[in-house]
Amino acid sequence: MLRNLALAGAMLLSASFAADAQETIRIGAAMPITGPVAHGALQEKRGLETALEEINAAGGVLGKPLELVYEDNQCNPSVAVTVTTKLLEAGVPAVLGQQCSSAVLATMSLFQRAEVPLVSSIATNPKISELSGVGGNPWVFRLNPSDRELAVANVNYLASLGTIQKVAIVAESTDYGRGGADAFAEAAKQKGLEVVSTDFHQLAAPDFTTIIARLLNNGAQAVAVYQAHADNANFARQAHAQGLKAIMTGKLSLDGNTFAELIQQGAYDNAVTAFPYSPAVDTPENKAFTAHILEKYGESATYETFAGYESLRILAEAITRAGSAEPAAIRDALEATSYKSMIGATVDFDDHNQAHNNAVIITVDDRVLGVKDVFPTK
Amino acid sequence: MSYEFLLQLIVNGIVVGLIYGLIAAGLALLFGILHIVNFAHGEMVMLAMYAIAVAVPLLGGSYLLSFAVVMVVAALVGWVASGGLLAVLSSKSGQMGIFEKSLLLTLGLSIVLLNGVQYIFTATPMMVTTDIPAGAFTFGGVRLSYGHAMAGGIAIVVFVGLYLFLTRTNSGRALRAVAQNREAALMIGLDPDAVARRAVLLSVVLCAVGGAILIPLYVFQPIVGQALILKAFAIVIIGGMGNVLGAALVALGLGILESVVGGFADIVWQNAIAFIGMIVVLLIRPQGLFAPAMRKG
Amino acid sequence: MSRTNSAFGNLSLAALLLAAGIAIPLLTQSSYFLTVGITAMIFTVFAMSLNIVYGYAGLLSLAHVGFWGVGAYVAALVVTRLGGSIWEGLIAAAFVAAAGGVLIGAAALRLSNHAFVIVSLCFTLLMQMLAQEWIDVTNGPMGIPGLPAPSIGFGDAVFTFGTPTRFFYLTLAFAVVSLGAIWLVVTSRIGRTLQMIKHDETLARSLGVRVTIWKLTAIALSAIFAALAGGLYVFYVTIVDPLIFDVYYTQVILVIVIIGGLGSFWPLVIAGLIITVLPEILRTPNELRMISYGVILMLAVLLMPTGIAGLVGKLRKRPAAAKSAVELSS
Repeated sequence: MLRNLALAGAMLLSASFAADAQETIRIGAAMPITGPVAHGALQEKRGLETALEEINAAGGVLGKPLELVYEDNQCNPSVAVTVTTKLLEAGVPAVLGQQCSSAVLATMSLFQRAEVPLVSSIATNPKISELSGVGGNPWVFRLNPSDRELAVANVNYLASLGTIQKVAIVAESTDYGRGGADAFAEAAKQKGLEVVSTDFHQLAAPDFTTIIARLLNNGAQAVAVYQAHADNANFARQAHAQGLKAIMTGKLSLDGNTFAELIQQGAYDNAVTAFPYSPAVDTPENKAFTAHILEKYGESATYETFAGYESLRILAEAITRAGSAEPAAIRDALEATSYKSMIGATVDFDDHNQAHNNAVIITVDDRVLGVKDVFPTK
Repeated sequence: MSYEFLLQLIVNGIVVGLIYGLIAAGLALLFGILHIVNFAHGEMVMLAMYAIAVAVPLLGGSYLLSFAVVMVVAALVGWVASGGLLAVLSSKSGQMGIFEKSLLLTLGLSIVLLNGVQYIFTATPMMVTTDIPAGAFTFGGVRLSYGHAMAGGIAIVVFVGLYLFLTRTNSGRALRAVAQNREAALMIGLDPDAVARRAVLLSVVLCAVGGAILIPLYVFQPIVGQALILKAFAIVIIGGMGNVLGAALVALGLGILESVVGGFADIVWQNAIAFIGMIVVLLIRPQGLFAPAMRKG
Repeated sequence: MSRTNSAFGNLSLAALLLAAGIAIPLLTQSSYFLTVGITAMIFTVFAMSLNIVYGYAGLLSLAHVGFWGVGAYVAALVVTRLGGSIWEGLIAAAFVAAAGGVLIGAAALRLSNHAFVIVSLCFTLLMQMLAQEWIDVTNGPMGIPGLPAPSIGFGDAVFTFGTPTRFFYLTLAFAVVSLGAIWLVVTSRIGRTLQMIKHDETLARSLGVRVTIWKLTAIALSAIFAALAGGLYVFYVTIVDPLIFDVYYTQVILVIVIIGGLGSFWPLVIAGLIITVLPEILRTPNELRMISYGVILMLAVLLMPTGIAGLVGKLRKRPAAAKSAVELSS
């Protein structure tokens, strides 16, 4: 019975793929659909779907419509390995996303072994580009600036204020958190700022009272955070309630209703962050994009929405240039990418397969979120 | 060493300890009276939080009203559930003891509740804004935020009420009697089943209160129950599994110890304390610090 | 089931499953199906290890996932930090788990059964915490990725189990050997003694059985197989991280053991294979899958705590206690 089941299943699977191979080009999209950072996956999906509609409405790629195959990596390294294997076995010629640094780092070797490109647009751990491109894994590409570049810009801005000498770091104990914390500490050292304390907490830790007490005591004037959305909001709420006056900095993604409320309540007064994107970046393309997203989904575009959108557009454009949907050809075409991003810079990859798109300095002045500066990360 | 800092840590520890104690009290009650382990306890607190989050916009934004409504609903749910629970536990199918059965059942229940809430609400962070202003009482250099003060105050009121209930009222004394010796309680005419139902009811309401006082403090997600229950378990094990007031004392002690250690050393050690305490107690005095010596059985 | 009169039944069932196992990779090239099969076999061995201590010895132990995770980490560390082969890693894993099991047993068995359950749970939670916080050794939440495929031989004659098909056969061999060993143990005097202890500990003691030693043996044995299963699993997934201790695994093996039937053998094997394979075939989304596991666990405890084996047993009207009493006296 087991034999027949397996046989039937195998036939079904191969039949479905045989049929599709002529009809569409299927691209894999792995993201944390469930789990503590599911919010980000929801946003990324919106960007992907928007790009997909536009591309297919214009006739698709190489004359065929594109199709996205979603898999849930739960922002967990071992699950990421499992679903990536699933996608690679399904024969997709390229994969977008993973979103979480830990997922990217855990699956990089799988892509190399299978010789299929991965286009990562959100994960920020600096190690990813260190391990890619020349002397490393030629199959992994990253669109977004790493935390190292962002931290440098962040610290530069803080230093320029003239009032900040002591900084504290609060980060989650993950690849993302630790990578970001290291990058910030390094940048702070270079610029002569003193890091008075560094705290690593578990993902989804509910209570930050003790950490906040420590920050109230050690005279930190700014707190650099590298946390998931929910933890960041939780921390900000508790810090504000307990009277922490240190300004929030680090990686703050202040999109969404919860953060809007917190900003209104004063939890993010004078916050400063260097971030890869803001819906308020003033270019015609970005304005059109954010308006479209707002109208379609009722919520403003976030970094993940933007990342999802541009990653699919860049990939589609590469496939078109390659003239084929073979992984190796796509990889070569990706290397030669020169794409005008909607936030102003040209996306092309350096020898570590790292793009250097613009980034933004976002500040909260008088309880209003605004873009202070758009700067290149080249 | 800054004495102000130490004092602040102690004050924080007391508040956090009171909150933990509230949550642990319900767990201790269930084990003491019914000998059941409730793995779904943290999820019950989480459910209360989501219930209030849903109720607040429906009731015109009033936190107090939602608090009251959810309390009443919790009492109703507790009463109904207790009936079902007792029926299930007293059925003699198979060789499974009540302890084992309740453990496995509540384990399953906790997964169902956690994933169910996550499916419906997704993991998007939930915040409920209340009228409690952001700000704090200050005594010298020590700050006590209004939210913490309210949470601590409510917890103290509940504990005093619980103490009075357990020592001064007939129902309360009946609860303690059944916890100490079920057969003897039967002999003097108490109805263990009715008592048990009241215990479940009380436990559910305590969970609801615990969740309610956390609402103004946290931004939460469906897994918030998991971290809370770990602390609650540690407290109940250290204090003695049937002992409600023991749990309260241990909770206070743990809260203070965690706060002081976490403040002066790495945060990692903060979480380790509950563990180390639990393991030491289990090895040296397994019935808990405040329970009478346990006969091996 | 006494060994003699259903030897034929046992052997033919084993042969059937073995044949199916050998045939599957020949029928499908899909590494997805092979992955499902590998996972099913590993989980079945894992659940069977819980069965030794819970089903046969009657001790509900929540330490199993702790042993599984410890086995996984030890094997991974031996290979990545100490440069050993996976085989050395697995042997080390078995040793460490057995030692851990004996320690926990020695500490906790003198307590009541209630306390034992709690101690076993604490063990798993402690292991999880160590995995998450002891960054220097375990790399914390980042995990240890890049675990190499198992290989045997030296120099040029190296055979690597690098493809899903090869790993499938490796796992099949592992499952056959492990389940075979466990079957020999539980149908031998060891198994019958454990069952007697489960049914009536006082009687066993009065017959001169050194109950604690037997329980320790059961715990150590089950720890070994859990650790081996865990070690093999992470080498297939090529990464180990603290989520190996997640309550998800506790749930899955509990569901398998209860549905199969505490203290049964073949029904548990079948249950293990079906329960792991079914959700994959149905392709349910993550949260719904977890919810159904929880619901199944609850329903099983409420409605069929003796599992399929119990239902089948009732049909055959053969009370187990009478049988083991007969066997003891023979």
